[in-house]
Amino acid sequence: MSKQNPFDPFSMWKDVYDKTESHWSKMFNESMSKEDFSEWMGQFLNVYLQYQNMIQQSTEKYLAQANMPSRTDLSNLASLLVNLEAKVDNLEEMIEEDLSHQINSLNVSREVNRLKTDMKSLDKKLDQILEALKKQAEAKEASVKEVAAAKENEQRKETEKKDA
Amino acid sequence: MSAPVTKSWEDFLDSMPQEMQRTYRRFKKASEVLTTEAEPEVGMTPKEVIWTKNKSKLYRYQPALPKKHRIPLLMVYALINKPYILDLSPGNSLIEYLVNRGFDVYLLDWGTPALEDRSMKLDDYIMDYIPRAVRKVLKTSGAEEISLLGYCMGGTMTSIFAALHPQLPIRNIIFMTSPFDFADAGLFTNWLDEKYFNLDKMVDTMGVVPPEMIDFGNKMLKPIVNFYGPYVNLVDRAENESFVNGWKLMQKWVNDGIPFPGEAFRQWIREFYQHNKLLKGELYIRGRQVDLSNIKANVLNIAAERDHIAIPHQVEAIMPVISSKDKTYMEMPTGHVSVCFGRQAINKTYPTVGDWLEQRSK
Repeated sequence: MSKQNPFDPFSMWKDVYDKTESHWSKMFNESMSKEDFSEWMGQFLNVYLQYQNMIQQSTEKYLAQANMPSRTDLSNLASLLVNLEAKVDNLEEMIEEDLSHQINSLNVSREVNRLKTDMKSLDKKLDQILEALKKQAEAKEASVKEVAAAKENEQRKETEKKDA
Repeated sequence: MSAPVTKSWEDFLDSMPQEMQRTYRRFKKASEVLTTEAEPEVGMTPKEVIWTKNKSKLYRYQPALPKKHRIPLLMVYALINKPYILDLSPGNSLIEYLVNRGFDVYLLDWGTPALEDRSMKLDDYIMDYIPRAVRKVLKTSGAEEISLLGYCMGGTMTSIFAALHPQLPIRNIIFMTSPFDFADAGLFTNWLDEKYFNLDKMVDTMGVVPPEMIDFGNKMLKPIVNFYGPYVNLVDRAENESFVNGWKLMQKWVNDGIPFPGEAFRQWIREFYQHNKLLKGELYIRGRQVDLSNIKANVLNIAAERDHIAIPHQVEAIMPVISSKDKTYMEMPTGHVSVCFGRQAINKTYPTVGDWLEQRSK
């Protein structure tokens, strides 16, 4: 069991808070849930806004008479700067997009050039293969002709022998 | 206090009972935290800015370890607070955790809008800022697909963005405590009722809605806990150094809101809270109808059990609408903010997000 310190008013304060908080909160919550409270709050806000409006108008009038800029004037100026910044931001994005397109097109042209080189080397290789095949075919044809001629010679010699 | 006075005061303190000395020390520490101590440093994970637009910045976090996962993660935060809740302090940062697990993490910080941004609409953020940030992330990372994480209102905006850009290569989406169904938004539904809440007058008068008003509205959802509770807890645990550090970080974030651009606020309240157009499929962004069924990416939808800003039923409502085949809904035992800050976040949320993403980033 905790021992209450007789010299500690803050502990008593805390105890009171802990014991009454839920009760007070419930009570406040019930009161604030009522339409009357919303109505009162609305009225209070209206009065406050009326007061604010009056202060603002009189300040603006005074500053205009004193030939000094008001908060609204300064904010209008800032607004121009913000608009200008927005335009610069848009331009920046357009340039970035344009640059990325350019980089893309640069990449595409690089790719096309590489393809061209590849094609050329392929073409060259194909030519070489065709040349080799042609030579091979010619050599084959020549050897076939030689064999045929040799066969013909043999046949002729055999016929000549038989005739003799 | 001059030296002799301090000395005699210390002597007097030493003569008092131990309990009184302790009480005094706690009071002194709490007073120092509230008045003189410096604000804690936040957002300390190393990062670089890779793109800016108006006040927005796109950060890329620098990993201490090599990147293991090829799909980058872009985080989108709400328009009403600073996003450093995702990178609060070393050891207490979702971003640091994910970076250390080898993810390539990016964050879109909306910056602090001023009066000149009063005409900015959600359309502008969803159609001009997020798509461009996505393109920058894809270009910087060299990846072909992307993961998105939307926290709070940032998740709602991410869902609209993903629905309107089905052609973009979005592999994974994580929603963290993001509301989608506004039919019953708790007390906000009552307070923002068209009968009482003069939205147009508010936007036209204020131009940009000050952060104090938004913070006040959020705190009013639980006034005792939000206005009074933090100070009771601070004094009670003022001797606990790590609690005090966490308390200071949280208070810094809570009190460091940003203004809400007027037109975006008008749209957010009217079309979401008052008419619930998103889930009904009646929302138009720059003339294009938002159809959430266009979302086909893998989805992890995280809600917080004790959330009173994005109540779990508001978060879960997107699940049957999207077309994703791989979709998971989870509730964390946390509140709206503690879902990504504190012990439960470190033990539950971070590993859940990390594991889910890791399996889907190969």
